[in-house]
Amino acid sequence: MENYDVIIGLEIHIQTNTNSKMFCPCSADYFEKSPNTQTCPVCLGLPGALPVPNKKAIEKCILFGLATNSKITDNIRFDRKHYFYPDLPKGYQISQHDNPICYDGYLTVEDEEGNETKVEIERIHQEEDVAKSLHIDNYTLIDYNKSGLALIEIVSKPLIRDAYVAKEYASKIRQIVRYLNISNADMEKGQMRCEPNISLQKKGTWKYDNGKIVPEKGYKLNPKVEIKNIGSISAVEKSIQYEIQRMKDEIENQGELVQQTRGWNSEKNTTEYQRSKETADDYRYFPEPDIPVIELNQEDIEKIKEQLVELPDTKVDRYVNEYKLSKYDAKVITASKNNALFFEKLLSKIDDAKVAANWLTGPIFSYLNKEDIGIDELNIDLDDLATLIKKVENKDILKNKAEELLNKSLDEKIPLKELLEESSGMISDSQELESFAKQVIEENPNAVEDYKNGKTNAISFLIGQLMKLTKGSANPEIAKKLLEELIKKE
Amino acid sequence: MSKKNFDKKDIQNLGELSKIDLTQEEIDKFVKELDTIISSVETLNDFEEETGLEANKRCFEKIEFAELREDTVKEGLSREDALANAPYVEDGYVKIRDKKDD
Repeated sequence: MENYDVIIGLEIHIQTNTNSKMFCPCSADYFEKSPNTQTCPVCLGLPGALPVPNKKAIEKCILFGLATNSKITDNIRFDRKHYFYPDLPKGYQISQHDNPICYDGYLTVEDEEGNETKVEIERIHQEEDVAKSLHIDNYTLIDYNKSGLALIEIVSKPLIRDAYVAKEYASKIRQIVRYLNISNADMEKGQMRCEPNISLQKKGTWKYDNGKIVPEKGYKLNPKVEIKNIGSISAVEKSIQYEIQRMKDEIENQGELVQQTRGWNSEKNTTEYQRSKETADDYRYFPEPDIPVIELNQEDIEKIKEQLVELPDTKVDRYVNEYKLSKYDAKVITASKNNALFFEKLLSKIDDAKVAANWLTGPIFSYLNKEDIGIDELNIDLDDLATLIKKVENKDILKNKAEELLNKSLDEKIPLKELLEESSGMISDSQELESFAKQVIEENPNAVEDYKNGKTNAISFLIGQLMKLTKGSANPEIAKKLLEELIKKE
Repeated sequence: MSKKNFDKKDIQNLGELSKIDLTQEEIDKFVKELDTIISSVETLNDFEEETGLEANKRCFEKIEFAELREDTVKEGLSREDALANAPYVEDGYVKIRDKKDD
């Protein structure tokens, strides 16, 4: 099968987190609301109702375009895309046909070998969501609360060559829309939807021409497959891998490939046939006559640019170059904007990036994982945390002990400050430690003997015992010195 | 606009797009009728010249970005009003019978 090229394109829909819908002022906060309680003549498609575009929604679409190195149109036009389905009461969706708001962008992602690769974005356009359908036996229930929500569609060029890169690209898009507060992009809630299309073409029989894969002279292209129902980023990769293998098997078994839509089954990890597409879609696009052309000038774009924040790629570079963090740590910390902001705030208080990173990716992340919460839900005073970390750095308190205090503070919701005041700190006083050290020597004659016979690492065991006795509050360096002296004296 | 003569295939396709089942007789009938309909509509092209009035060119009108609607929520229809025209309703949803061949 080496003589085949894998060709993947990705269509991603993002539900914008605006307050109101795309073309009417109905509430866009539809999740878990009673059905059909947030509608109006516009989003129900009643005759005579006129759509009025939501400025914020278009701003967010442009913002995403700016973040993905896209060009921005200066005349925004909408079109009607016609199809007949109960979730679309007007009989058409207001979308954009040949004049998307943003076009010719790209994102940089890493491939499986860690090399940077560009994924090119063909277009980013603004449209509206359809109603929610609940399919039951032989009928369907429709809730129009979701009808008319602002939706951004991002179409990659069909030039993605493997499932891993497709997954990384989808993941980066999710990260960026979250950084820019365009959408929460929760795939389980349908706020982000990925639809890959895949085909296998014999090498040399195709070329890429102006957004499309076209056959070289005298050849016919293999049909492509579109995958729906993808509920997670990892399913983007898995479903594409599965589909490539399935198509390879079909070709090897001399079976005929059929252009079709398949659904991802996340329980079986397979794709399942949904429908074949024998005829090309006929959406009968025409310009939306109810919405005038919207002129976008440079000033408007500059204003939107102000909403751009430092994006994850730039942050990673800065963390590596400026803070000397490893790329791995930088990526882990910048995976979410909130984590990165937490890190930057902590850093401003303790002034040591490595230390701040270690505390964040160590005890704090493990606490977040354990509790399954986000860092914004963490109940901690950053000044207290900084004090704790400084105490560890100054060897006033042991790291283990400090982590214990941190966890106790988080678990029992006791301010860290109180715990710090309570804990007497480290015992560095030799006289105070002497009685503990004597006890350890008495109780562990074998280890003492070993040490005397030259097994120097036996001292670590004895220090450990002393720590136990003092509940971790002994200064380990003083303890070591003291134990060594006492054993010598014996 | 160039005149297009409709054939049976066009009518069949239009029927499918409109979700209407057409009999052979109906298809034959519409092939003839649609040409007449389209040429009637095409007289609109002469509208401005003959009447001196300007056609509604709203879709070529321009507005500025800043004029667009602000993102504020307004109360819409009550559920009762929203569902008033629905032939079938169940638990606050519009109920739709599925087509067997879908």
